[in-house]
Amino acid sequence: MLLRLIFSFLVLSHLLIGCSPSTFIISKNGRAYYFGRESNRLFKILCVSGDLRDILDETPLSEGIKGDLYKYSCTDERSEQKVIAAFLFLTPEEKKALKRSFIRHDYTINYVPC
Amino acid sequence: MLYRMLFPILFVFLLSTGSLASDTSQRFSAPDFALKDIDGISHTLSHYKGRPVILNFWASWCIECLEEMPSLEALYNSFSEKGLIVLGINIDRDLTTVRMALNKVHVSYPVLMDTNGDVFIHSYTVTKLPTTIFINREGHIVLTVSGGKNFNNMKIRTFVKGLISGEAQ
Repeated sequence: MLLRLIFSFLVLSHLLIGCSPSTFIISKNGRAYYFGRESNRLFKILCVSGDLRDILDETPLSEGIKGDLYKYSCTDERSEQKVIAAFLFLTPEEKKALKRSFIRHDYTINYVPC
Repeated sequence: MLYRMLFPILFVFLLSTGSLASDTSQRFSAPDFALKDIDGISHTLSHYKGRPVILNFWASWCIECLEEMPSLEALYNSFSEKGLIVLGINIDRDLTTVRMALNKVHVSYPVLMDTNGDVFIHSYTVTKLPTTIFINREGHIVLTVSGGKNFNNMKIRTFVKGLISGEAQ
């Protein structure tokens, strides 16, 4: 009971102080990550495999924003905050197009596998 | 035993949230930029040095942005003659969309277009919409507000008066 109460408090506090992540969850092969998170596993899945390059190429996003999303996800300039800003900069239609492209490359969106 | 284990975790957590809250009081120089407004006139932030500036990042598809803009307009109308500068920074892709939004929400302060995200992503790395940044006369960021707000309230008006007089630095 006490643990449940504390967990609820922690979750609520994080939501209230604005720490809720601002991109979306991508999952593949049983693992889930927030797009943009600075994680070595995510780097391998998206960048080493070449997936992100292909995913971005298949979207109608401008070359500039594709370059930003790639640079801040897959290069030495990796930055979670910059990926969030670049994602927020997209229009609702562009966000949908990006998510659709992830799905075409066998990613599941906003689902956390157990 | 359980309490003894949980207390340090909660303590560290509360400390961490406290430091997040105090981030807004840190002083950073506001990065300079050059953007054109919806009438094609160029604006640089450095041009306004010596006067308090409010930057309001918004998009036509962001409802909260549109909802808070009338209160920002009211604040601008109250203090523009005393030196306050308000710059709306829009991140839509085309002028037509912006003009359509401005037909519904009338503002008299300049609305600048950041169509490729140079200012939004690279200079200010905005991670929430709307975001409003208060810059003092020395060009330092003194307050960042995220989420839709009523800017025409006593607290903000007092704060802006302080920025204009140079007391709230």
